[in-house]
Amino acid sequence: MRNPTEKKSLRDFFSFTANTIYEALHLRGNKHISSMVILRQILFTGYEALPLIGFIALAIGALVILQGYSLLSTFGQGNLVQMILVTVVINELSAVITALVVIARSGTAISTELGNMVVNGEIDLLKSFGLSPISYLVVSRLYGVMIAMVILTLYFNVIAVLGGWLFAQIFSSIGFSYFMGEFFLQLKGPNLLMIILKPLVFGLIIAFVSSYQGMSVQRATTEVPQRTIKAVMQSISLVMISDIILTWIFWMLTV
Amino acid sequence: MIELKGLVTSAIPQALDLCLKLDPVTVLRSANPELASGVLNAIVGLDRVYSGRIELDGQPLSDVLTREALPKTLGYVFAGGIMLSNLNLRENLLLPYTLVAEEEGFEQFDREAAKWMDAFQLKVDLSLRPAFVRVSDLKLLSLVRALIFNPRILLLDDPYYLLNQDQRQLCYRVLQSIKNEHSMLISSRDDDFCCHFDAELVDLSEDSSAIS
Repeated sequence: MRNPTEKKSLRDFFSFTANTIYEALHLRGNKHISSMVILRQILFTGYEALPLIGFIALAIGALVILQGYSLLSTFGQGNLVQMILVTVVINELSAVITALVVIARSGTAISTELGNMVVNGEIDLLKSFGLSPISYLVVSRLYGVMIAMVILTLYFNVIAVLGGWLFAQIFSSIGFSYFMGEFFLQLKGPNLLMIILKPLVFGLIIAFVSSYQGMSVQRATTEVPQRTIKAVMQSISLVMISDIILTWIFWMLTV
Repeated sequence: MIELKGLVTSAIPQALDLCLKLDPVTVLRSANPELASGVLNAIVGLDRVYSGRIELDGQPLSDVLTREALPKTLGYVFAGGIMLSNLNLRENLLLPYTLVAEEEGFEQFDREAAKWMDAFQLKVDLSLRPAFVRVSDLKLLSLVRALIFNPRILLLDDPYYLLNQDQRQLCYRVLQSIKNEHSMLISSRDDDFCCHFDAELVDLSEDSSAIS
């Protein structure tokens, strides 16, 4: 039985981090990583979030076009609206908004689920089988959330661009092929890199922080919501900080 | 035989030296039940070991477990009959199998599971999640889960916990019938195990020195 007076220390954090990195990098022959957990995580984080992400993406695409077109047309530059779409939606909003949705849905779910598993002794059960809880629960979720984040961000971008084109019809009848042609002209290599890199980094942060907070619960069920709140706060902060760093790298690449 | 040498864990505050013969059954009893459970937890590796070591048949247990899959060496049955809540019962029983499947093959699983469920007179729909099943049935299923692997040593933490009178009698009968095939280490304060099970009784006193 775990000693309730044992507190989580910085050593525990580094131990958790080191174990997670080690086991995440040793995929081959690692029977402890469950493809079923990865698939279920992709299903929950990715597939089940598609309607919400789709709705938000459609709204964001439309709003960016509405605001951008009304602003740019006052300078006679309404044809540059695709540039706004690429700069605002593709580079920034898609990954950040998707990350916020994933934090709200999956980050909280992961933290709560793992916290309850600790309280119910399910982590000890895994250990009693000789199964590594880090590999089985954390690393599997890490991969699941990262894959789901990439899928959701790509989906967000597609819907936002389509939504933008649809709403652009209000102002002027722009052909789909012309709109997409102009859009792809604005899309450069570094943009494509960021479309993949940002969701991967954000997914890693969300899954890691949520798992760590969930696994940090000691004995009481009252700790679970407290840890979940911490997971949300830390995930949002770290996602925003990493977004600034990645955007700065992107800016360095394009200058 | 399991030997504990100067063992200190979060549940065992004072150094504990114990020689558990397991010939074939040893029962641990302590005034504070957490102490006896703590010994089982330490053997399975659930508690952080601050000092001391554990040997199985004269070899460090950690070395033995690098050669053999843990469920085939130590079959641990928690007092609370714990199951993973996000898996159904069949997935729960199958989960440890992922570690030994290459050796055994999955076809043996159904045969063994059916055999032990019959022995415990369990009629449970294995497609259900644990939340929809009585805790006493979960406790018996956790016994089935451990026995499927035919482990060298069965570790039972308070076998009667959560069971009603009939299930206790059934559990006792089944354990009696298999005690010559499986070494067992039982943590219990029930007279059935402490007095009538024909087992070596180890009483862990307050100062953590073992008195047989």
